[in-house]
Amino acid sequence: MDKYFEIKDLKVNYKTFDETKKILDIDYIGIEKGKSYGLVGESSSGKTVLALTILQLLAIPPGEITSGSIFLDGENLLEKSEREMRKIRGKKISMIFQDPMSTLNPVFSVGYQMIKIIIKNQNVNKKEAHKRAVEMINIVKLPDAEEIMRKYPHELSGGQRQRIIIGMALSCGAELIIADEPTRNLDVTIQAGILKLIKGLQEKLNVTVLYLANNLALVSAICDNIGIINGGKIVEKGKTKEVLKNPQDEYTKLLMKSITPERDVEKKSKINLEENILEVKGLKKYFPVKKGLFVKAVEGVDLEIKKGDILGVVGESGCGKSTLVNTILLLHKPTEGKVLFDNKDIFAMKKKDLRKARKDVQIVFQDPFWSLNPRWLVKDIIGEPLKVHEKLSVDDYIDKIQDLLKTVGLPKEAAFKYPHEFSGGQRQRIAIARALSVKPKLVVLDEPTSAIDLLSQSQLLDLLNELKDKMKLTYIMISHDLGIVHYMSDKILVMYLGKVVEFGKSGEVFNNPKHPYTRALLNAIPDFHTNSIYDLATIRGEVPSAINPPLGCRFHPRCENCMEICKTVDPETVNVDNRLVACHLYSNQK
Amino acid sequence: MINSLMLKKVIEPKIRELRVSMFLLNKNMLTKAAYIAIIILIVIAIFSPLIAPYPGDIYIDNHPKNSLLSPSVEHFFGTDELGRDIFSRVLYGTRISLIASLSTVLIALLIGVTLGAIAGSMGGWIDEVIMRITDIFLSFPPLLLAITIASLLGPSLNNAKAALIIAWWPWYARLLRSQAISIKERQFVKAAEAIGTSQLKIISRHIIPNCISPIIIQASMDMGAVIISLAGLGFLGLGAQPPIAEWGLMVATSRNYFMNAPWYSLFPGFAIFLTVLSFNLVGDGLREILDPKTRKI
Repeated sequence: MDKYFEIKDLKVNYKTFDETKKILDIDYIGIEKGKSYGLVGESSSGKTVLALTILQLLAIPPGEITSGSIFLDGENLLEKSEREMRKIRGKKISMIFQDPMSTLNPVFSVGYQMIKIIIKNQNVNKKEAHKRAVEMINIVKLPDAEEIMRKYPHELSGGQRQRIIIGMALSCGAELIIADEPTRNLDVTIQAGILKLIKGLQEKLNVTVLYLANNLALVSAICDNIGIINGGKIVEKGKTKEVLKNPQDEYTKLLMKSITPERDVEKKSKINLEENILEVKGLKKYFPVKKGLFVKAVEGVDLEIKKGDILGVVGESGCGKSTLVNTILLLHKPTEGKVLFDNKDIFAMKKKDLRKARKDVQIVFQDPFWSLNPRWLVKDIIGEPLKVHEKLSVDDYIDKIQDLLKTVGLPKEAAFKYPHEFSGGQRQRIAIARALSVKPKLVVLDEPTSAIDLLSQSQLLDLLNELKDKMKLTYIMISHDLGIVHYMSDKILVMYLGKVVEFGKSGEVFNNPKHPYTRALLNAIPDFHTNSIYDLATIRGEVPSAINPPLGCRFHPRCENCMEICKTVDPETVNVDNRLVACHLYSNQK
Repeated sequence: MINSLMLKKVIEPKIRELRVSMFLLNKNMLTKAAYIAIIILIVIAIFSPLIAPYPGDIYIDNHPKNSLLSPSVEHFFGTDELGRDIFSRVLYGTRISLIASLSTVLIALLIGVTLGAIAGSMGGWIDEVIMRITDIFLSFPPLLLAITIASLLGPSLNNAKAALIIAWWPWYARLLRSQAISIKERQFVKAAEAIGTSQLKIISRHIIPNCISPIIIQASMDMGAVIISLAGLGFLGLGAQPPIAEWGLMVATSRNYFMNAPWYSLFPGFAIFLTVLSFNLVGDGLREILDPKTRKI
């Protein structure tokens, strides 16, 4: 039986300075026309190399295809010349990359780029091409097509850009779409929208999809067949439902476990003291844009954290959660408000006291690829806070660093390596070790797992939990993934456009969300119980600009339960079932 | 005990890095030839008084009887108007040119990097002041500026060097500032700030080391440009003064005898050409080593 797309016995090597590495060794992948195939594996398992090999975009050298064949519609792609491939790329096969910003040309408007591609591939005049571009934008479900055509890539959000790229892929008449983690950098609500779109197009237009990702749950929600790839080899493959129901390979089981971490409620910390470590009162942070115009990133936030607690802060990108935390960390000066740390007002501190206070509050940043100085050895990275705050002899210093490495589960030798020699998860451990080196009281985790693979993610979360009990820490954890926040935290604070919309105990918020926004966030995450991709919630539209937020309730233009009053009156925060909610749905329950 | 272990562990990755660099250097034949040429030039510069067949000719010896002899076994490159061996003088000129250009580039680099890093990382009025001064310097053509300064200071090799330093540092300052601005937004700098690291340390240990690659590439190419400019100033009489065996000066003097003794101009000129070409090629090779984006390994 011939399939539409087949890979047979493909072997790819990579020559490095030290050795020749085998990075791909795939015996067989077959996809029928109009079906979707998900390839799941961690980063560096060879997924991207596979995509590049299919398109013949692999850099040779250092890459080297030693054997195998890739058939598309009965033709072997590996035997095509560069000239023939150029016709196939874009026309028959299209690729959707991880980062939509670098795929679109920033100096041309979106419409111009789309029209150019259509003219080139479909042989039509400009007017007709314009019409088709508008059609395409409608197909990828973006509102106001004419307006979008006039915009430049930087004026669109990540989700909108990804939709445009999908639209471009389709407008060339692509029959096979290779999607390489297209939703990795997107918010969960936007992610659900893109997934629905890809699935819908596949069904409607009979497009074949090869979906590469590290999240098994996500892939299983949209793909008919899946393959699990580990170290360049397919370790398990079959119908999605069957693989999930009865996984055979150890690695598959590991991947599945990493998605549904079972939370042990008993294990939750019992060191809760009824003492507040941090209180934030009426905090505001405006960034000036022009005279009289401000980005109101944080608009009056109150919160408190008890010692030993974990506070989760959730919201889409642009909701102000990072600004909130950076302001607490004194990386920005606040516009208004008070922050009490250990009952001392940190904005009123003198420079000398401030430096001491900085020792007690540490941060672990989102992206470990950017947060470690690439030119330093790990021992210097971890030791940086030590050098600032403590004076140690060389031997004590090295001892301490190696202890810290052990605490975060890295080998002693790691001290003498450079950050680029580690994987994302390991780098994040280095960042954690750095934060812990001066024995802080409060650690801020800014999306600590969003840049790393799911498998390392669950291990990292366990490590953080363990360290918290051992070192008597308090965490503030920022994330756009409500699932992770629920797994980790005692309390959840949901933010939307600079304001708190819901604040309460983690379990209660998670199991019975009150605010429509919280509900939408929660339903947007695919898991193994997601039967159909269409069950996932998406929030219509995009997060509005914080320069000119909507009147009344800031969420009202996107809210499913929007009432007349929401459009004019800003809801007050009320106490509903033991938690604070800012929504008119509950205002009569005062 | 721990210290010796530490030393080994620190050195090992550096040795590996060095081996990778050597491999990359060796891969490109042109770069390889260029860096071998530069090594030879350095050796010549160090040992020129020993290698030169007529070491006395480097300074003030002269033999008017032998003036303007064409190349022969006794005088490989012929002799000049005072009967001095041009081969010896060209060899010694290597030392003068290399030392002069190296010291010029290094001092310009030091000034430019420091000011650029401060401007880029501090921002605000400090940035404004430093960069406007830089702009003033940049608004003159560098060689013209150097000529003006050199003629104001009076002709000598050291004054020519000073003039070139003044004309050169703003380029480094501007290059480093633009790098520093992007680096200071990186999270590891924010992390250092959150830790409480002092501003001085952030600039010297975080920002500068991460900005330095393009500067080093630029500097290695500038070595060639500075050699040309120094020779140019020497040619105009604003640089080295006789009887120093400086290439530019030699070409300048040879002008008068060009019709009778073309070899007199040819050999010093060729020495300048070869040195400048080698530095430019090595600059390209360094780019590949220092910039991992263009690395193919």
